[in-house]
Amino acid sequence: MIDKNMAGKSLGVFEFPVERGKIKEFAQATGNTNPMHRNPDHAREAGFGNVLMPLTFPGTFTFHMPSEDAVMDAMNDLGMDPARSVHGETEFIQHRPVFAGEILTVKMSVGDITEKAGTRGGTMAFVELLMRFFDSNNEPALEMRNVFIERGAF
Amino acid sequence: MKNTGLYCEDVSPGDALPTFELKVTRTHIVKFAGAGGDFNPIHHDEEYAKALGLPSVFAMGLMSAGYLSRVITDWAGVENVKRYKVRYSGIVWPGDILTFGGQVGGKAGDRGIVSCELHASNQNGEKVIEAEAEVLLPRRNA
Repeated sequence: MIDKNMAGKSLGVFEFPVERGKIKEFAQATGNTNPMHRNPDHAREAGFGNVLMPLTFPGTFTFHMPSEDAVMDAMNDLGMDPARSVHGETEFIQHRPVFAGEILTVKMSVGDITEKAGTRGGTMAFVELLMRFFDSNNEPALEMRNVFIERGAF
Repeated sequence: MKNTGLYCEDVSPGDALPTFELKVTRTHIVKFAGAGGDFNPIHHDEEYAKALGLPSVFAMGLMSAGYLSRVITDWAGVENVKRYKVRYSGIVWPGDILTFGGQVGGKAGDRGIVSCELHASNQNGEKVIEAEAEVLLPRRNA
C-alpha cells in the first residue's frame, strides 16, 4: 500500500559533480557525437567555459545518491510494489546550460502522490520523485521530475 | 547563435526536426546502464527478465529519452533547451528499430520560445516514447 503521507517528504541532499569524462561516456551511450560535449576547445570557441552537460545527464544522479539503493529504498518506504510499477514519465528543466567542472547540490524529495481509476478497474497511483539541482550560488540550475505509476492490486 | 545558428524567425509551426534511426541492441542497453547508472537487472539480466515472465530484457526509458533528446538538441543547441518532458508509452526490446523525430509546434514570438513535439516509433509504427520540448531561440533582430 502506498503511503500517501510520504508526499513532500525530503529524501536527502547530495552533491552532483559534473565531470568531463562522465559527460563523454554519457554522450557516447546516447549516440551523441556533438563536439560541444567532448571537446573543450570547441565549447570555448562557441563562448562556453567548458564542455556542456547533455540534456538528460541529470539521470546519472544515481551515482551520487547518499546510498546506492536510495531509489529502491525510497520506493520501499513509499510502499510501492516494483512488480506492479513502471516508469511513466520524466521531465527535465534546464534553467541554464551546465558545464563540466560545476558541482551542483541536489535536493531530492517525494512530490505529489495521486490516484485515479484505471481503465480496466482498480486504481493507478502516480508517485512523483523530484530533484532540484542548485549551483554554487544557490541558484536553481536544473530540475528532474520522475513519475512512477503503480497499477493497483486486483 | 554560437552553436547551431538557428534564430527564432527562421522556424515555423510544422517544421520537421532532425530524424534518425537506431536498431536497438543489448550492447546499447549495457552501455547506457554503465553511463547512466541504472543497474536494474530487468534491463541486462536475461534470466531475471524471463523469470518475471518477460520475453527478454528491455531498454530503460531513460535510454530512449537520451537518444530522443538529440532531436531537439541537434536542432536548437542544448544550451537553448529549457524544458524536455517525456512519456514512456511503449516497451523497447532488443532488435527494435526506432525512428526518432519531431516537429515544431508553436512559437511565442515575442519571447523567442518555441514548443516542439518529439517522439520515437518502432518498426510496427507504435510510439514508444513521446515528448514535448521548449527551447528559447535567439532573435535575429534582438
